[in-house]
Amino acid sequence: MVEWLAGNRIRGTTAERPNLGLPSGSVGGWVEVGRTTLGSAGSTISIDSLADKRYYMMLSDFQSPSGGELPYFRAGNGSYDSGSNYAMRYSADGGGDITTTSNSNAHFRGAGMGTNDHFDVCYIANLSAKEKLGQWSNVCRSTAGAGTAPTRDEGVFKHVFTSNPYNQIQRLTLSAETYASGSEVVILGWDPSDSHTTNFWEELASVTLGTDGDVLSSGTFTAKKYLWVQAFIKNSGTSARYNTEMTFNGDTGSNYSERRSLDGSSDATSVNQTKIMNSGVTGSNDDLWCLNMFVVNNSATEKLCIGHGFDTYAGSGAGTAPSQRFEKVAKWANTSSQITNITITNSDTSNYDAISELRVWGSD
Amino acid sequence: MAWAKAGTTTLGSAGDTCNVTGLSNNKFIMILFHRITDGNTRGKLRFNNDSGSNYADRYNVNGGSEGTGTSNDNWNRQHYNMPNDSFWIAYFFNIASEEKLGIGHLNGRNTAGAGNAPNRGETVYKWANTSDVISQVNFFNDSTGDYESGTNVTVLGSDGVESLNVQDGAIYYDTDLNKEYVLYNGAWTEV
Repeated sequence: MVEWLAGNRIRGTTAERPNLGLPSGSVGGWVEVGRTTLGSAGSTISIDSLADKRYYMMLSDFQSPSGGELPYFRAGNGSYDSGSNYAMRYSADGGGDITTTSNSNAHFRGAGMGTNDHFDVCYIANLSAKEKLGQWSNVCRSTAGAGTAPTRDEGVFKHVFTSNPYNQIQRLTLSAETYASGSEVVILGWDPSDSHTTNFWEELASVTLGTDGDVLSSGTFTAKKYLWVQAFIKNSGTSARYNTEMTFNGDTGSNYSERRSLDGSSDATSVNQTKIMNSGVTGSNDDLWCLNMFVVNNSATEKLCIGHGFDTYAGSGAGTAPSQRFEKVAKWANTSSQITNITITNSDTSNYDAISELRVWGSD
Repeated sequence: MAWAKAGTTTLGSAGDTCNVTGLSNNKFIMILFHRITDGNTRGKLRFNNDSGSNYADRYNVNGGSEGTGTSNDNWNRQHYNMPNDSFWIAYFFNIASEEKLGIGHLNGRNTAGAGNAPNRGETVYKWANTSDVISQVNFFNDSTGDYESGTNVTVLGSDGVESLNVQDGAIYYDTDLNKEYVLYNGAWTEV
């Protein structure tokens, strides 16, 4: 697939070299506006000189913290605001909400995460004269290996910063604890005036099943550090059951673990599993299942996933509410390969309908 | 394709609606809605201006008990409390022949100031329309206040088709041949 790079530069294969008028299909999406990757262990990751964008999307990959740090957040314009101007609400592992007010930072975690890798995705509304509003989800690896389930937090914050838009963002430990070399924060921006063709997210796989079947596979795609995955699956016109067993790179060993909440219930965990993101109960006629998922996909570290979705098992039509809303985090305890294939398999008695769809976007 | 801009509207003056219309067909869309409120407003949402009883949802507010809504003529979970700003994002699955499903996340600012923690919502959505793709995103307020100027709704789509002409001066790096080419007078010449 052709990549559109900054400075009127294009990258692709011989066959893809375009004639005039190539549709780019990628005008004005999320664009990278800042990135800092630690070259050595450090306690602060600062991203400065950010372009003014109406919205930011932040991807934070924290590797091998030296201790029980919290992934703090500060931001500002010209200097980092460390006043008591932050407030937040969050839930850890599906527990009751906790609120913090008049704080000198926002922190995307309620408790320290030991020396475990963790990853979060955050969106921020960055309008100059208004309090900045953010929302995040994170996953922490917990003890290495598929025998221990990951942990999770999700929450929202506000920052009483109404004089300017942000132009700098900082993630930091606020202590002697450090993040390992390679830890990274990437800031993407989106603005109504954008007309660039340098989208951060590149489509890696787009698969429509085509005929009823049991396997929805991305095929092999180019390895990327960050993955964004969406899936939409339909039962194939029967009232028999199906499930959605997701695996990476064809690995069906007991190398996965997961933490999940269904319909707001207390978290449950599964360890040493052969799949993740499996659906709950299915089997009503034509019921649907959907998923949105982000993955940090470093070769040498366990792959960490944040997923949300639900199904319509309870029935179609507006007279029946959606069912089995899930919040999941998962990990694949592989530390030697990047994910280059995502497969969702049905092992129950029904089939996936031909319209079932899987998309994968990614970026380094 | 990769999350192109499908449409965006920023209010230039106060109003009770904030719409994006004329959307092209995208199987996956992302919606961002930054509601800035003057007085009491709601962030009600419809697609394609459909005011029939075709909307259902399941929601969780501040980690509390799960709630559901059925056979409504709109969705009403895109703000938390009426006098305060909010920031909502969602992912929708948009195949014409299937019910449209969505996954939404909300930050409701609460009363201004760091002394008041924001509120949050997790909502999943179902639009019981099995004949159309989403061509309009219609936010509207039916309370006494107004959306302030600056309120924004943005739609990103997975299948954007906006075109870009490759113009003279473009550099193409051929990954097969490990060579670069420059475009001049409609021809690629090795650099």
